[in-house]
Amino acid sequence: MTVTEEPTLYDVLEVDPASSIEELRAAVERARETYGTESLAVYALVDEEQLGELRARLDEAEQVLLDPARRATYDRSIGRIGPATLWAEDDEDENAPPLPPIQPGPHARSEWLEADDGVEVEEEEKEAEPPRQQALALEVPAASRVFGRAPGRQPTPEHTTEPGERSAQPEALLSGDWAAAVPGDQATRPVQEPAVPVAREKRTSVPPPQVPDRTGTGIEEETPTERTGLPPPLGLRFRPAPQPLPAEPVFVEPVTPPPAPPPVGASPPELPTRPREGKVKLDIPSDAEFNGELLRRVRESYGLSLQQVAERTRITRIHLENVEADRYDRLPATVYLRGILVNLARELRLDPARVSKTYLLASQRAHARGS
Amino acid sequence: MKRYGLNNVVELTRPRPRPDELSGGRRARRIVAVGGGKGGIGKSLVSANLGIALARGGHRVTLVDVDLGGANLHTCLGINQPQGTLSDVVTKGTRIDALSAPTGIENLSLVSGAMDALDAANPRAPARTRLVEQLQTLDADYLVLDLGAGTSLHTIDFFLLADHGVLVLLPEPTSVENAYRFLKAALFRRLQQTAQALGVAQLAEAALGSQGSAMRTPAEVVGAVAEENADAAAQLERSLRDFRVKLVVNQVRSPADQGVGRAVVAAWKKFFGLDMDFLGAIAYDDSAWQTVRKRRPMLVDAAGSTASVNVTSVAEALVALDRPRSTGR
Repeated sequence: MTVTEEPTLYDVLEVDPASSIEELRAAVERARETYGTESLAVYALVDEEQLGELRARLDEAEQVLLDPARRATYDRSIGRIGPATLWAEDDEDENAPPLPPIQPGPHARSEWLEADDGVEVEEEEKEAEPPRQQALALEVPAASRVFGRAPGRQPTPEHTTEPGERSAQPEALLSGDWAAAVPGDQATRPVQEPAVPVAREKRTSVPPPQVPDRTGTGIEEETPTERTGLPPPLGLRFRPAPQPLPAEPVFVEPVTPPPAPPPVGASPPELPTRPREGKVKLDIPSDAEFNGELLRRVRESYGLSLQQVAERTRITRIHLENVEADRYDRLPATVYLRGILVNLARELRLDPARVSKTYLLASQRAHARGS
Repeated sequence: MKRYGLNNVVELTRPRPRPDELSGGRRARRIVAVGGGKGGIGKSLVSANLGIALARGGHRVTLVDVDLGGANLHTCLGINQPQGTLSDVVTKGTRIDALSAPTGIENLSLVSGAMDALDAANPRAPARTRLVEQLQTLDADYLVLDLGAGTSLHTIDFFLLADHGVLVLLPEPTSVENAYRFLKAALFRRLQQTAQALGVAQLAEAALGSQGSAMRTPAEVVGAVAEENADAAAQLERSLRDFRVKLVVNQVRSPADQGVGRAVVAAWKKFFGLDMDFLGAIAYDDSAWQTVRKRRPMLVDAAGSTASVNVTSVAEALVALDRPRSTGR
C-alpha cells in the first residue's frame, strides 16, 4: 500500500477481495464490534471526525460489497474481477479494461513486513492502478491521518449510494448510520454482571500466543479436532424458512438481509475461488439456523461451561442442556422458551432475534412431525 | 499529550547492542517493561506474577520496581522492603547487583525502587542514564520492570528501552484512554529519538507539523522523510516497526471483555499501521485478588485460580515470542 492511495473497500474491511459474501458479512460484523460506538477499542484512540470517517466508509463497504451487483460494478471500478462478478446481474459492460488475473490479494501483509529496505514496488496491481510513487513497508493505515484534520474523502462515482437504489439492507443501514447499526443486543447488554470467572478452562481463557488475532469474530475455535464436527456452510445446509415468526419487538431485527434465496440462481458461497478447508474458526453466517448443537459450539468456543452460563443467565442448567440437545419435548412453552433463547443468545453475543426465531421454527417443525 | 522538544532527548537513544549480539557478558538477556498509563490497573500484580511465572519456567528473573514514586512490588511479593533501593544507585553510586534481594521464590530476585528523596520519582536525565546503564548490567534471563503510572519521561524511556513493552489495560474506558495516551506518547518519543539519532530530526518535525495536534501516521512521517533521505527513512521505519507492543487485558469478566484485546490490536493497526501482539487476558478472579489483601503472591497462594493460570499463559506467550530466532521478526 502506498501513502498516496485511497484504500479500497476491501482494505477498509481488511478482507481479501476474493472473499465470499459470508466472509464479507463476518468482516462487517467484526468491524462493527471493533469500530462501532459500543467498542472500547476505539475510545480516545483518534478523534471523532476520523472515527466518523471510518464508520462511513464501513457503511459504504457493507452496502456495496454485500450487494453482488454493486460489488461487481465496484470491482470493475477498482480494476479487478472477482467471484462477485460471476453472479452479478448485468455484465453488459464490454468496455471494461483487460483485467489482471486474480491475485491472492494485495493483503499478504507478511510480505510487507519482510521487506527490509523499506522501499519496494508492488508489481501485481500496477496495470489497474495509478503508478505508485513508492511503497513503504510500513503499512499505511486505512484511515489516513491519526491526528489532525481528516481530508475530504471522495468516493469513487461507481459506488456512491444512490437513494433509490435497490439494496438488500434494512433501513438502519440504508440510512448510512454505522452507529445505528450496532446490534441491539450490544446496546441492551446489562452492564452489571456477576463477577464470575470468565473461563475455567485454560485453553480458551488466553488466546494462542504471538499471533495477534486480527481475524477473529470473537467467536472462535482454534482447536483443529473440533473441525470434524463442523457442518457445511450453514446457509446451504438448511433452507430458509418460508414463514418467519413475528419479530421480537424488543430487539433490533438482524442487520443482515433476510434469508432470501441467493441472487440469480447461483449460490454465492459455493463460488469463491478460495476453498474453505483449513478454516477452523467458528464463523456464524448471518443466515445461520441455530440449533442446539450450534449453540453448544458457540458456548464452547468461549470456553464457558454450562454451569457458568447458567449462573450468568439465570437459566437453569437443565433447560440449557435440553436446548443444546434439541430435546424440544422437554422444553417449556414457546413463550418461555423464547425468553431463554434470547437470554442465551445475548450471553453468547449472538443476534437474539435470529436465534429465537430459527430455533423456535425448528422446534415447531419437530412438533409438526409429531415427535 | 505533552510534547517533548527534540533537544531534550537523553542518551538513551544511543544504539544499544541487541541482546543476542552480546556473548557471555553479564547482561540481562531480555528486558520486559510493564506499563499502562493508568494507576490501579494491576501493573504491579501483573509484573510480580509474571516474574514468578517466568521464574517457575526455569528462567532467572529479576524484578525491578521502577515505579520510583510508588514502589510496592515487595508488597505484592509478600516480603519486606529491601534495605537498598534504586535511589542508592543514583545518590551513592551503589552497583545495582548489590541491591538485588532474594524473594523466597527460586530464580526470582527483586530490586526495590523506592526513592524517598523529594523529586526522586522524576530523576533528571543524567540519573536516568545511570539507572539504565546499571539495569543493563544485571545478570538475569529476564528483567521485569514494573513501571509507574503516567506518561513521565522516565516511564516512557524505560518502556522504550525494553525488548518487550507490555501494555496492561482494563476493559474500561478510563483505562483504555490512558493506555492510548501512553502508547502515543511512547511512539512519539521513539520517533523523535530515532529521527534525532539519524540526523533527520527537522525533517521529521516538519512532517509531524508544528501544531501539537497534527501528528501524522508513522507511515506519513516516514514517507515525508523518504523524499529527502531514503536511507534515514528506511531506518526510521524499522525503528517504528520495532515499536511492537505486547498487550495484556486484565480483570476480564465477560466474553465481551475477552474481545477487547483483539479489537485494540485491530484498531491500533488500523489507525497507526503498527502491529501489536496480544499476549492474553487475565480473568477477574475474586479468590485470586484476595491474596493481595493477605500480601501473598497470587501465583503462590492461589496457584490454581483462573487468573493465575492466565498469567502463566501470558508468560508462556511472552517466552514464545523470543523463541523463533531464525527469521527475526
